[in-house]
Amino acid sequence: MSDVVIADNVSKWYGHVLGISDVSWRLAGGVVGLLGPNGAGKSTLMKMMAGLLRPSRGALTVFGASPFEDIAVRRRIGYAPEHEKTWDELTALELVTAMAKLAGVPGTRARLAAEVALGQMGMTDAQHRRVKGFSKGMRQRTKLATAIAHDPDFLLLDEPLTGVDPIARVDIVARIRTLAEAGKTIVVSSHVLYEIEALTSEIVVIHRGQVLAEGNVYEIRKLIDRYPHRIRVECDQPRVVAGSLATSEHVARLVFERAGLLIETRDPDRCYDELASVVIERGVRVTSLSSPDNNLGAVFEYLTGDGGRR
Amino acid sequence: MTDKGVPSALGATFAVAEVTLRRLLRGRALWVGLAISAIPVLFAAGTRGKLGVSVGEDLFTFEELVLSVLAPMFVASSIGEEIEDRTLTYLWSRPVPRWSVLAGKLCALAPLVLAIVFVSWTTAVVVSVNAPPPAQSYVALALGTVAVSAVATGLAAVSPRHGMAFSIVFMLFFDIPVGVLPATVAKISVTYQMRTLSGFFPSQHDLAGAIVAMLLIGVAWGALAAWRIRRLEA
Repeated sequence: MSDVVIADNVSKWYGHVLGISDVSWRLAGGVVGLLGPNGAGKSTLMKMMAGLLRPSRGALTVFGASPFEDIAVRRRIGYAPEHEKTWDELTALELVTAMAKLAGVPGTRARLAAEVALGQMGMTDAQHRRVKGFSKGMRQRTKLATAIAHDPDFLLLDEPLTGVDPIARVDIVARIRTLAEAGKTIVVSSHVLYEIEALTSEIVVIHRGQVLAEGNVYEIRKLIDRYPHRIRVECDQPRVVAGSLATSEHVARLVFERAGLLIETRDPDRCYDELASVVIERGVRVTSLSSPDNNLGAVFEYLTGDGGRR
Repeated sequence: MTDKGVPSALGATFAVAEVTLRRLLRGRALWVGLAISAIPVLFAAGTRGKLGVSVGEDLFTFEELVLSVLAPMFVASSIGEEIEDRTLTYLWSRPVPRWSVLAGKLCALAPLVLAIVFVSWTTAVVVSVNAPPPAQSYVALALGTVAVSAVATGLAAVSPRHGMAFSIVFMLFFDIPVGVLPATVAKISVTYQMRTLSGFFPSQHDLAGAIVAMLLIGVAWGALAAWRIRRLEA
């Protein structure tokens, strides 16, 4: 199978600001998560694949053609941008119908295609309402419907879960999965690791405009697990918790903080189990339990902190 | 379910025009535009029987001012908002030539501006002199609308954020003042050519030249807009 996307030493500058730096990447198909913190260059790469930006250097092709120059190849691409703003004066059905027409669906069939796309996104009941009054979740679904109405082969979904409430998030993830099962090649971007994990195990980690790591998310996790994992416990008896865990071999370091305790462990799963036991057995009142390492920033610290291991 | 062809440029233009018109009809700008177009009528009612032989000139000048505000208000703001709000990303990610987006905007908005100006102009003249305006004046306003819309399109493509303001300032403080200058340079202005075509200014009578000049002005600004939009990145 030929590659859907080929990026060959692609760079993009915005004046003096670097968006993407010397990225070489191939996408054969399936669902891929583009993961990176805000400002990493995810949207720039997405926009280049959607034909909105032209590479400053290098070449990027989608289905063998430049999406910026070649109008026809954009017929095979469905793009849902990151920003929320859309034509708020229109109803969802009018908006998606217009987008389908602009993507090449004949006028007579565009409305039907829009109804089907909105149905796939669970928006049938709201399709005659104006976008202006929509919640963030409804806007995201409508955006996704605009991206799929013309039945594209390749979907680019830029931060499709941003600002969406947890229930809608689960639903949207399920709907994107359904599209993937239908054989679409999908690139989804996010700055939240677990959002991507819910959609695919294949990820590309992008940071400061460069591809830092790519492959299976579990391999990335293994890479992360070489380093101590931090767990912050805010509780009324930090010394009791520390005393119980101090002898465990997986604990690398214990640091007392103003509101509790910071644990550094080489085995997070075991640590959580032991922590639960201590809390129950010793009657410790926990007010907050968080892991600074669950956010993507920590992943990047790990990946970049040692010369950018891959 | 769907065909895999790309839309024709004409199809894309009409699709953009349809959306543009629908949005405008549901927004506030149309009502503001209608209110502005009522000003010449109010002026005509207030000065009825007092303007003497210069009534045609005076009312036409008023209508030029209305056109200088209405076309930027509709055309430049529509293009500028699309770029500033980044909704243009939806259009540009579609398999359509970029110029068709501008063409669609013009197809939707220029006729609307023209319709409002025609109604305003007709009503103002009828109220003032109890007779309809000469046919020639409609030709002047029609070509003027196309030219001013093209100016607004060009300026909005160059400066999306301030496109409407720049277009109004350009028309009110450059085009109109230059157009009334008793010098050859006046011929570069839309105002001068509109006045020539209107028939209300006897010293200006090169009708064919005015039509050609107006079309050239429109094409020049349209080409600037198309060039700019082709290079623009979202």
